[in-house]
Amino acid sequence: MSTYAKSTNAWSCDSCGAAMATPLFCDGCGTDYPERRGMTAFGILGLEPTFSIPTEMIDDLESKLVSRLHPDRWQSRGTSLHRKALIAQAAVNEALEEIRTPFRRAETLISVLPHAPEFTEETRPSLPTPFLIQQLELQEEIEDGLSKERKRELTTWVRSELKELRAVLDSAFQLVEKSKESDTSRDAFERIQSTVDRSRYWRNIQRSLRGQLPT
Amino acid sequence: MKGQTRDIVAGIDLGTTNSLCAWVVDGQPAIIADRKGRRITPSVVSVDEEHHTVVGDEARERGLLNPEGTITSVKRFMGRGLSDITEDLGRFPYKVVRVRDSEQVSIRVHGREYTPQELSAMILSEVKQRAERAVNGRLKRAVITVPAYFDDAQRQATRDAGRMAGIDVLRIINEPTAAALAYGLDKSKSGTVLVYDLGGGTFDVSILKLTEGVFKVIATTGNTSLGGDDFDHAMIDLISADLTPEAATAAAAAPQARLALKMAAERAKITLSTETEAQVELSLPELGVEISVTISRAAYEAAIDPLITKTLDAVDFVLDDAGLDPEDVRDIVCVGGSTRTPRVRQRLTEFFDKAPHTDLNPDEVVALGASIQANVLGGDGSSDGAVLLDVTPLSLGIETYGGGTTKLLWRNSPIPVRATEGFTTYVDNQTVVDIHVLQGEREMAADLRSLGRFKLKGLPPMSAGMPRVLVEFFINADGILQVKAKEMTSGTEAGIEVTPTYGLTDEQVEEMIFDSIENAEEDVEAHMLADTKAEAGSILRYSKKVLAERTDLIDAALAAEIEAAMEGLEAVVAGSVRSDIETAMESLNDKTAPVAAQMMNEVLQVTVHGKTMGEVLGEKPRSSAQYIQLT
Repeated sequence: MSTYAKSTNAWSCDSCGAAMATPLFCDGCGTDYPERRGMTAFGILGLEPTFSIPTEMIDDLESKLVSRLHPDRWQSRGTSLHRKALIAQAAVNEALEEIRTPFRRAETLISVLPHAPEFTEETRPSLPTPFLIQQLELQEEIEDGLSKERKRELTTWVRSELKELRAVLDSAFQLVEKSKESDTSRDAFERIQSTVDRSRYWRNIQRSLRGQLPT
Repeated sequence: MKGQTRDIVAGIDLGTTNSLCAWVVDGQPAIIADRKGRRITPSVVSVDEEHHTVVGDEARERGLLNPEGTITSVKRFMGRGLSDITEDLGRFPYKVVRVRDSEQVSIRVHGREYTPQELSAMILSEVKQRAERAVNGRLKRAVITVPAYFDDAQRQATRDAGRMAGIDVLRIINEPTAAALAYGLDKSKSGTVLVYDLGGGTFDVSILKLTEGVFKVIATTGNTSLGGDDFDHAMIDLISADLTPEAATAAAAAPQARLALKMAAERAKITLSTETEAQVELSLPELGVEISVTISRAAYEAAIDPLITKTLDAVDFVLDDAGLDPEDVRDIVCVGGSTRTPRVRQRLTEFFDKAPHTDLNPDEVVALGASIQANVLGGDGSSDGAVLLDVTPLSLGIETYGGGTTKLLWRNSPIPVRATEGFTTYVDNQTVVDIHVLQGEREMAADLRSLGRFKLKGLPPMSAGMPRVLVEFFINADGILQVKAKEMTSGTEAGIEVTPTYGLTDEQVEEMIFDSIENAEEDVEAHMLADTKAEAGSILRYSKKVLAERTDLIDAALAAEIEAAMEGLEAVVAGSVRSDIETAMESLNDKTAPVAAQMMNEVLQVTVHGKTMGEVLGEKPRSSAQYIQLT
């Protein structure tokens, strides 16, 4: 059973008491809280740390935050306030991108969930050698140049791989949420870490395929 | 006049071919037409042998008398190096050179070099002055638009030009985003929109998501060297296909011939938007160039199809970047004069299986959108105005040891955006760290666009590897990079010296801010009087030149009228009544205008089935809807 993210945002401004859209900056009086810039993406957006966050919810949150925080609304209120709003918006943009991308979201969750194990170089699940060789060969093939058909073929393949990995993350996080602090949970976290690591390689291939616009 | 001036904010579309200015009045965006009803300022600068300049329609008219000193398409050179524009070098009648000890280019006219920023500043000044006169106000603050695919250097160059022209640039915004703003301000509408912006010299395609007053760019790409100019050159190739090799060489070497061919191509291109054939007659006997040819629309379309394909490749690319298919796009919006080309619209319709929106005048929509944003930023807009969320079009990275790069920010990252990177030193007591910042998608530094070198100075001397320098790269809402650095161990803020690769330093810009701006009196009327006198001087010089050099076109009666008009102007120009000087200038222009038109017509001719030259060149003001809401 998925647990959708709930808003946890109950921040109010120490200066004016207004409810804040984000803990970083009060869009009522313009007070900023630079000490909070180290908060996680979930914290900045006022979301409960969980994997299942529908895209529509993120879009809606973005609209609400942007409407209140966007530096354009502050430009005529002086350089200092404008600069603070700019920095807050940049942090919010970064947080939104992190939460929006499932693999980045997963990575963040591993680092914030209290019962997530801390993987070291030795304990981090390693990726199988055939997989790594496959990735190397694909990169070399892309660098050597691809026909339009082959590029289309690879693009479809990468998309389907990422879709599968996303499904793995979905079920692994469900397991984690059901069986906290148990061995089952540890196995699930290992699967999550390994999936995130694999996705990094596939996303790299995706970027290489997109490359730059041919002139 | 005194005491009735006011400060206005405006949106300026600084285009490759034409520039426009708009403002919001009574809650509606509107183009500011000058007192002659002209809504468009041609982005043309004419510099005579004495380095007096004229901008706009008059500059364009003087082109044939002064081809080497008539500069068009300056935007193509903004923030560019010589290696970027090699293809363009032979196309224009003026000389483009590299600035000594620099990567930048400048344009050499009558022995003096002008940077693209200076020339753009002249165009902005003209646009500014026309607007100020029309509304009897002061235009001190503006939003200026740029192609979405402009890189950091190009954006900075545009900002610098604005500064030089005495404009406080509130924001640099992307042209497709501005167009989307003009098209879709109904906050209840939402959906995915693709903006296809094909202007005179640049091409952009952006995908935006509109949601309840938030305009979010999802992906953008483009080509800053693809536009109507290239369509002109395809036409030139058609027109001159039958020239002998000798005549073709002579025409390519002669600035007047190059300009005449370009003008003929432009006319033929415009004709073929509505006719199926264009007859082109061009005669330059001194060069052995005689052209009499009929160009069919089919032949022209075949010639430009590869260019249109390039644009559709970009559309494909940006859809892929956004993770969308053509059917996911609800509306396609056409921006830029070149989208009037029927073949462009036809191919877009085929690609998307639906016709693009062409309701708003494609020449004006960007300026209208920019004025809406200017109104918000200038503090006069309501607090619930639309919000623009744009993206950085190019990935940002730094050069690493061995010539590789580390990417700090990926393309299509929403802006403003920040990235940090840690550095340390390689030798003991090193107090300076050099960072080379690059933009682009490739892996090796040599394949990327150099943005500039940032020298971090004032680091406390420590053993190698000890300092922890945290560098913050911040791309602001203009899409321009700002860099800050701090040494974390000591807490010292590092001083940053920026050497832009393709731009000007702050000091250089300060030096170039026009004397007329620096020394301008606070009294707007005095400022406008000074400008009017300068313009009168230029018109008098031009008229003297025409009288002296074109006696073949001017009979005794006309010569007498011109001389009388010149005397009339000379009599009032020393005075202080601006309206008298302007009336005398108009009178003199009226007398010389037919001569200018005859000069153009004697060199070339395009049969346009009964239309006047003005109609062909699109000078007649068009009526346009201000706002159309997407359905």
